[in-house]
Amino acid sequence: MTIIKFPRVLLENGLFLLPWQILRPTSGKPEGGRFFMVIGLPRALLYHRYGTMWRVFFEELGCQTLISGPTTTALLEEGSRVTADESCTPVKIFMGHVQILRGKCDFIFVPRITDFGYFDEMCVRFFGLCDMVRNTFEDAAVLCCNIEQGREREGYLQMARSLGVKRREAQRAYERGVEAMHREENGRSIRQRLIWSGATMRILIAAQPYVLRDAFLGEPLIRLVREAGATPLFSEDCGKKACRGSAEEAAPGLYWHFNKESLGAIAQYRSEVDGVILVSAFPCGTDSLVGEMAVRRIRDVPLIHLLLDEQQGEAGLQTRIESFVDMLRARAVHEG
Amino acid sequence: MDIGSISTKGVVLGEQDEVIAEGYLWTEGDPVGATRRLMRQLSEQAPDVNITAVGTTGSARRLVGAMLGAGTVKNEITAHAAGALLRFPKARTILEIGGQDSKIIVLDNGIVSDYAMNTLCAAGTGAFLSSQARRLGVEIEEMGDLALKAERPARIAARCTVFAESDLVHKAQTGYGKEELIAGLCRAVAANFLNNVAKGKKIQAPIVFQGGVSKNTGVVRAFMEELGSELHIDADSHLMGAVGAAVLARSSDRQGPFRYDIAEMRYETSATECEGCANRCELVRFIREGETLDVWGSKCGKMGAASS
Amino acid sequence: MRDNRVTNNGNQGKFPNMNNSKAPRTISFPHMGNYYAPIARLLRTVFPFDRVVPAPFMTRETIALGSRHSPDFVCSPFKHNMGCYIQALEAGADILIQTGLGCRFGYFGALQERLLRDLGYTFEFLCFSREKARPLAVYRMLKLHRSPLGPMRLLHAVCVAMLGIHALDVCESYIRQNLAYERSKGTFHAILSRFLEELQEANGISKVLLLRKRTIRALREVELNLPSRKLRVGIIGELYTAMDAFSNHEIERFLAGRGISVQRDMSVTFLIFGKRDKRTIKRTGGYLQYPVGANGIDSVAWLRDYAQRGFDGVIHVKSFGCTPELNAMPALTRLSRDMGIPLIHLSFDTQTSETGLETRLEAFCDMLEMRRNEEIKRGTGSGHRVDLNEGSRPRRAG
Repeated sequence: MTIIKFPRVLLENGLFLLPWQILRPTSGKPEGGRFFMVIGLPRALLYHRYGTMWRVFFEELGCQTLISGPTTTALLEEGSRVTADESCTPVKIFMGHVQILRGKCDFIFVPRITDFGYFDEMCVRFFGLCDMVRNTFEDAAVLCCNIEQGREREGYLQMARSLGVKRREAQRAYERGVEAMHREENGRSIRQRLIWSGATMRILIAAQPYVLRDAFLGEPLIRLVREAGATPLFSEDCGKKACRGSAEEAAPGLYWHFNKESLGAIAQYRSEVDGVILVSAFPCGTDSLVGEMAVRRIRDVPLIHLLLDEQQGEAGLQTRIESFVDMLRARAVHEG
Repeated sequence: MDIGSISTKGVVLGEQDEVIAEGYLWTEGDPVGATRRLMRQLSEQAPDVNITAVGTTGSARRLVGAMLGAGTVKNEITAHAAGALLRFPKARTILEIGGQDSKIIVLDNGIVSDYAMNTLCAAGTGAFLSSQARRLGVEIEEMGDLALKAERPARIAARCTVFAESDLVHKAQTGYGKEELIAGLCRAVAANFLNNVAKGKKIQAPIVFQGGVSKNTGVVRAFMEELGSELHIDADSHLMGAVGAAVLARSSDRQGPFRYDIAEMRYETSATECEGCANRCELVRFIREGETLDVWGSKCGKMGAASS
Repeated sequence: MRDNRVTNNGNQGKFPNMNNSKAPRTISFPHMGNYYAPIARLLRTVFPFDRVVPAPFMTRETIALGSRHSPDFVCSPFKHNMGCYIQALEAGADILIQTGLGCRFGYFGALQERLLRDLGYTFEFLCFSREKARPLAVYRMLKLHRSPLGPMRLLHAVCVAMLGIHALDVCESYIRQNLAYERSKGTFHAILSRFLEELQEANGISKVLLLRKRTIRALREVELNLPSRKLRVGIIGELYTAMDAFSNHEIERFLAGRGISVQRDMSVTFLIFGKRDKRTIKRTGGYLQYPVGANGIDSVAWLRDYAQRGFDGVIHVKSFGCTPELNAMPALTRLSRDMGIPLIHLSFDTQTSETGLETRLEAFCDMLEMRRNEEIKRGTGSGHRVDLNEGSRPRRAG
């Protein structure tokens, strides 16, 4: 084990973490004497979008990543124990994941992303995530990466600097991470295109990534759609940039990044699919407005707005999805 | 007097803090009638005492306070704290579960330093337990003993009353016995309380548990298991709100003689819409034998308690 | 004060060349606290040929209308605005005004316009939200809607409105702090009512300043019955619920009824001039590292400020599900625990039960009183500190 550098890790309250607190015996990977630590990635919220990138990024930096498991009911219960009742379900899930990771890693990675530039913002929820975690779990070491005005690269590099990584290395790690993410995304959308062309009953599921890909919220829904005999297609894999561009059509003046993607996907592909399921997690702040807008503006394709919450019974969800698919079938038969 | 949404409680407290007379009956949506019946009960038990002060608490405190000419009309939290402190002066935490309310009160040197009440719904309160007991065909009084017989309590999601019901049916189908279901309900009540009402509150011993549900031994056991510490439960724990109101009334300076038969007079309430401003508040007048005792419901405060 | 249907045509003579052949339109806007007075004044100056009628005062019916025609779990300010719009349209409004900033509020206008159009109303919707709130965009929008004012006149009108808002905030702040102690009930209220009426007429900078001076003097002359040890409570939280007395169920009046002096730094003056996130972050004392959206950091900074100034308690109000305030809540809870200042969170929505609220507030007041009595008994000095700036004269509201 070699120690070269004193990592400049500034923790909350201006305390320096002592070197032996973050140093772990090097095993395998790190050469050149970089320190080795365990970074916890909660499998919730932005993980479902940037997970691959983060994993590659941290591993390139010589850290070990520890990713929490899929969301379970017990985990959600843990999460709602520490969050206010009114918080939205994805945040409760997120807190549950943080709770699980707490104590098992040196840092828990919680990014703060406010916007990607003009007219392309995140939900206010992400502004305060970092501070929420810090104040809820006073003993948790939070690694925060602040991204404002679309300066993603700068945000990650700055965070790497606070870990004591050289800028060039961080740049390389960032690029590899982004590359891995793009590769994965492209693969997904190509796969979706293939499925798209062969399927008969196509249902577009439009939702934010952290709702769609969550094991507790989105996955049961997707399974139910499949069981009902339809092919689910995801707004996530529809080519995000193009979707964001066509969001104006579905909801003029919309400025939330994720909502633009999901509504844009509807606007762009509404002629190619048989039905749309718009999925929100209760009580999502942005969806409360945007969902209503979508229901009112998109009239030329059958659309239902499903609300997922923490107490959902699968039976209720099943009823709604099956009846929707049945309705689409009847329509298809009727139209010839 | 503690006039809750579900039950009405009354005590006559003696000079040595002993309960001379007590009454506990269902409100049945008629606080005036319940008070009248309760007064009859109390007067039978303690006909010849000289009552110096009256205090009311509970959701109908103001109505009944006006009816009985009570000197002290206090909210439930203060009353429950006063009641608990009378019996357990060292208490640090008070858990209270009543008909539709549940609350936690944190005390610091005998002073309320923090408190919380259930906000969103009545899941995990007495009303929830009694409705579920009815579904299972069990008397609410025997629930506790049945719950103690269970060996492995069912896990019931009781975050919401409606969902809990469907979960209960589901669990019944998967072969849980009645005792286990009831034990599961009791545990759900305790877990629900600790997760929602007591969220973020420091629960420190000594802990006092009171309110109607504290008579349910199953819930008591569930709390002890969850908290891992002893609970203090007074013999009159279901009357503690009333006892607290009595304590507060005694220490207040607004005292006056009281007779039981004041409840036998004719009372009526009438609702009118105030024309005073655009708010159109619904004013409720409380009338005794043609004389308006109190008016409430106004937002602006112009039609206060003093107006006639 | 109630009669807002006075048409204002006092300015007509100033614009002889303006084509006034079209019929006057009715301009309306939703309510927030008492700010309708300066806003109505501003709009009357900006649109001199039209009638400016604030939406009818909010009642329970407004709320019922608003929630019936709004999405389910949107926050209550949306529903309140919606109710106001519907009532205004029913009363014959042609032009509706909305603004929009931070959080969800930025998208209110777009959806509200859509919802109202779907209800079958015809109207023009002036939405000064986000990028449309920049001076140039505002000017263009006003020109588009036939405002005869040139840039300088507009600037003057805005200055008058700002001064009016500031005067209102100063007066209300003083009233809030002393309402509990007025010797004859209703004096403050009468002064404020007159002030609001006169503010709607004051159309020059000097007039507003004079009015402000006169009102402050009148307020300070009101006889007070000050106790030896005041109970002081601060109100923090989401802007609409904190500032709109109807939304927060007149919480300030309730506290005054219990003999409590109320401090609230949230005001429109603050939102326009006082909001400096970088500075506020430092004032949160490390409890927050980044802004958490809208007024989350301000809430935390104020809580810390009140705790340091020896306030007896703080009430955190917000509309149900308000994300920025929810973001701040863990910090608030931790701060109140660390600094030992009692704090309650009140969440308001359109179905807030009056009794539940009352019980909670009463218990809070009881708690504060008990703590004070204990303090006096023990003779500890901590709470006896008197802030020289307070109570004696109105403080700047921002």
